[in-house]
Amino acid sequence: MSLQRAFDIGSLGLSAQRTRMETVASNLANARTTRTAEGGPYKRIAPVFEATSADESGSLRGVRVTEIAEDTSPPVLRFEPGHPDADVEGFVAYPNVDPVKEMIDMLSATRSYEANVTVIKSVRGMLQSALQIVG
Amino acid sequence: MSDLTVDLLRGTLDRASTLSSVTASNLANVDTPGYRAQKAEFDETLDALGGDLELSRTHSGHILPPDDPRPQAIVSDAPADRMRMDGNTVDIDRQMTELARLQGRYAAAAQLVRKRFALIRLALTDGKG
Repeated sequence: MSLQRAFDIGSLGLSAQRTRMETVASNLANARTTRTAEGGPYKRIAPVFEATSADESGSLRGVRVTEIAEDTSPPVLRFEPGHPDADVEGFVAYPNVDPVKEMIDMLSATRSYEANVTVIKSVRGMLQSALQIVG
Repeated sequence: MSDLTVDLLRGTLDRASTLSSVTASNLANVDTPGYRAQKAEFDETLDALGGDLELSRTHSGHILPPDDPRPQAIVSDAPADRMRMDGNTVDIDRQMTELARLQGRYAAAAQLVRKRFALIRLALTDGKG
């Protein structure tokens, strides 16, 4: 059932892109968060995608998120002496989140998600035409 | 009951579904760094030799294997015209076009199988089907 496999791969694609969308949501929601459980400002996160084997021969590839990695770039320092989290020199460490970058990532994730939805839709169309053979 | 038309069309349906799995694979990995777009090809070498290759029978009781018009798919890296910064070579437009083409081909073959069965049914029911 090769078509079944195409379905499965399509749904793996959907869940990978959804995870990506969730990280974007998390980054945007915390774009100004200066306090976290680990201490310090929120750090931008991004999913790491890996191509997985989806059949016996390993030539068909699914996709999975192996980890949600933290962006290691330094926090953005802003001079806000009145802020409760300002250091002795008056600088506040804000998250390394660039909203513009996040928006672009969000658009890209949407498009990729749509591509996978189209895969599932067209495989469904193929299965329907197979069913009509008997009809 | 063996029917050459149906067997050939079955090959077309099989190929289209294998190819669509490969396309699904490529689209699922459109954002995976370093992923190389895959393509599937079918080995038609035996057909090219003339097609009339048969197993020899040394005993009348030997049963010939059923004709299988379905060649095995060979999946390999597709040639890439361009590569993104992250080493991914999936061209989303090409993959989407391929998908639409496969869906059309699959529907056409399925429709032909249907018609073929309708003809058989017509014969079975003495032209009244």
